[in-house]
Amino acid sequence: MAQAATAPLRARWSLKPAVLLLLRLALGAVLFYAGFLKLRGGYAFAEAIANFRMLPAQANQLLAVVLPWVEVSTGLLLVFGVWVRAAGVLATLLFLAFLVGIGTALGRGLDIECGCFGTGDAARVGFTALAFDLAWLVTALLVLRFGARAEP
Amino acid sequence: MTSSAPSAPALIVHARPRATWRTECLRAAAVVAVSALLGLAVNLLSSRPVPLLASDGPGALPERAERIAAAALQELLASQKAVLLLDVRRETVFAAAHPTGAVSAPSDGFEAHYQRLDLSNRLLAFEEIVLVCESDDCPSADRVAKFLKELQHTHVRVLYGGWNAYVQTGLPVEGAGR
Repeated sequence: MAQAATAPLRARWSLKPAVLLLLRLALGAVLFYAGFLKLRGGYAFAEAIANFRMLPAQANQLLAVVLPWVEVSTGLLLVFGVWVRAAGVLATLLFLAFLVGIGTALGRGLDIECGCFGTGDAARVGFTALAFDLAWLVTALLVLRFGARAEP
Repeated sequence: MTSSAPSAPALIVHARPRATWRTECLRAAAVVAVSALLGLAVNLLSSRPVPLLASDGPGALPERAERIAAAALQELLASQKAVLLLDVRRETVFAAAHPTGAVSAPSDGFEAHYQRLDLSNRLLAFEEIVLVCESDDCPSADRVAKFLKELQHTHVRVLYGGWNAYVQTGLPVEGAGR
């Protein structure tokens, strides 16, 4: 009886495979693209992270070296549909961290470059960046929740 | 017979083993570990590696450079002093609109611009150098000021409020404006 009662609920909250595939590919592509752009300018990216005034210099520098590769790897896993839930976990954590960074920078009134798509991107920290990040966070959560069904 | 038939498809669906959350977290950790190794290796081979243990490297905020208010800049420009406005914003932003007579030297890769524009000699001709950035919260301009001061260009200040203050004060602008 309990199974019969929950089955329609699950069906109502599931996503169509085509929509799920589209979300996963879009999420993977945006992460890959963002990471790839950051790979080219590690030094400048470390400066961009430092501008957020959140972490000590050494942590900023380590992040500048590692974060772009995490984004690229996560993006590739999502695009190719490998370890989708693990990639979904990483994508969710990444966008949560970005949300905290952008949100607290806005809260502190910092007028700095976002660095979201590397240092070549002139976008600044603001509500647009926050809205984009929220949208991608929701996408990552959807992929995390339902994405494993598309896993080969 | 009829009661057992509907349960067969459900058995097929759940027969496929699914990784536990522990496995997924281990996979995620493995991705981070491999990415970290890749990043560290590429950084070592880079022409401009990021120093990882330096407390004053690119990950550190520079000391806040001396500021000059837009009104004071207006007076300075009207005086007989040789003043250079160095616009450290991006080239695309500079192309759209910039202070009249300003030289574009974006903070991103400033050292290369310094060499290209032969600023080591050109800056000597000026008594005052004022850096123009986007707004007052411009650590990029502070980095440029620090770099210039290390090269003995001592009369360097950052415009308080940056480009926004420059425009609001009504100082002369070249380009379409914004």
